[in-house]
Amino acid sequence: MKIESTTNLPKIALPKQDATLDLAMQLFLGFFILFLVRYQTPGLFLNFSFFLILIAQFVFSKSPQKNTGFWGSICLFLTYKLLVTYFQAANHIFIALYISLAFLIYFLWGKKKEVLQTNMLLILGLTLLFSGFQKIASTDYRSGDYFLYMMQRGDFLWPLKHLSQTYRSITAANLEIINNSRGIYPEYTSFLALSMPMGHAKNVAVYLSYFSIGIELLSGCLILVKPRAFISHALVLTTIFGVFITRQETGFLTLLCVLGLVLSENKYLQFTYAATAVVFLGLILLGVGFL
Amino acid sequence: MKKFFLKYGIGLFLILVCILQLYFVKTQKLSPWKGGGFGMYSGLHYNHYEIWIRPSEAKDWINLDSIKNIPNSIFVLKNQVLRRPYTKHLEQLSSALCIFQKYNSIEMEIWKPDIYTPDSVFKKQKVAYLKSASIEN
Repeated sequence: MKIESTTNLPKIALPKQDATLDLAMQLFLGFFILFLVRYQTPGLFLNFSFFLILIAQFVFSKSPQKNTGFWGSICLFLTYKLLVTYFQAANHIFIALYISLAFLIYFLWGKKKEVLQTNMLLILGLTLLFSGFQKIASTDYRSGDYFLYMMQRGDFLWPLKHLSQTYRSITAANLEIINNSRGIYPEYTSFLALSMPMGHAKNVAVYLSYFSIGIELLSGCLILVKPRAFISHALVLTTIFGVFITRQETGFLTLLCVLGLVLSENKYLQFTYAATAVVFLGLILLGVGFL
Repeated sequence: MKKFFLKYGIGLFLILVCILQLYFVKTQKLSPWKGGGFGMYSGLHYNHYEIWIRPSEAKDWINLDSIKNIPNSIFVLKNQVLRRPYTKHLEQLSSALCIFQKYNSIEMEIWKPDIYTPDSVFKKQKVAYLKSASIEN
């Protein structure tokens, strides 16, 4: 019986999609390392220990991110964090756990891309759909009052603060009224009169509320039905940028970019997802974004 | 069966988490923001809420934020109340405050900006209260 030497095995060129998957895993790891540094609840010791375990895996293995044990350890760590801090856990911890579970399943059971992509599209599609439903159920959001209040505080459409002196001064004055009201027992104050930072602010808030609900529901449905279509990803990217100008939820948005990157096949979309995720990670590093 | 769970298990888990979160929002006043990955912006963030207390020794109400140098244990309880302002958490915070500030008993109220106002003139709305709590609670 002739036994072939392993050195004579033919070299197989990696399909292009594998490079995208590698990039998605690296971006997730970038997020995860920042998460270990920034999110220290319930204790710094646990994060530090796990950080050492991660480093050890990189020292003793060439590509640990392609091993089951690597993703298994991340899943265990995130599950523990979630169980201990369930009611205070931020939204991105849930999404990070779902993504790491998807990678674990991928490496544990035969690296079936179809299974990984189904899991990724369910995470992205259902998250967007439920997010849309939650907003429909919220009276404050539906009526536009949530956006209006955030606009009056200067939290929503925050880039305008850097562009318009009027917007900046009105929102600063509103914020001062709100902060001063915190020193007076609410039953002693009849109401707070806040100024509108722009013309037709109420209409803008209502239209933007309906627009964002519509975009989220539509992108969620389209990702579930047509996960490869350009329009599905264009809408997901619109949602990502929309959330970013509302509040700099950069940790959560980085994870949405990772999901989009795995699902999209168009190189321009992949580039946009990857570049956006890199910018968001940079903002977290600079302390501008939330994590 | 195995393939079904590998493909759809995470999706089912996500739906289960969503149901669980909605249950806690309904029964334990959990902030809708804590929505298992999809709760953001579905209501005003609980950081905008205010906790007011009135000790039995004092006449006026005090905003909890105005008390300086509160220990971390009380800060944790305070955030717990803001996220889930239901009676058990209010009692825990009250007891801790009674010990820390040496009050006999206190009343507690949680207020939030009432932003649902068609005329855009904002008031504040009481979302939870505790009539009187002492160290025994």
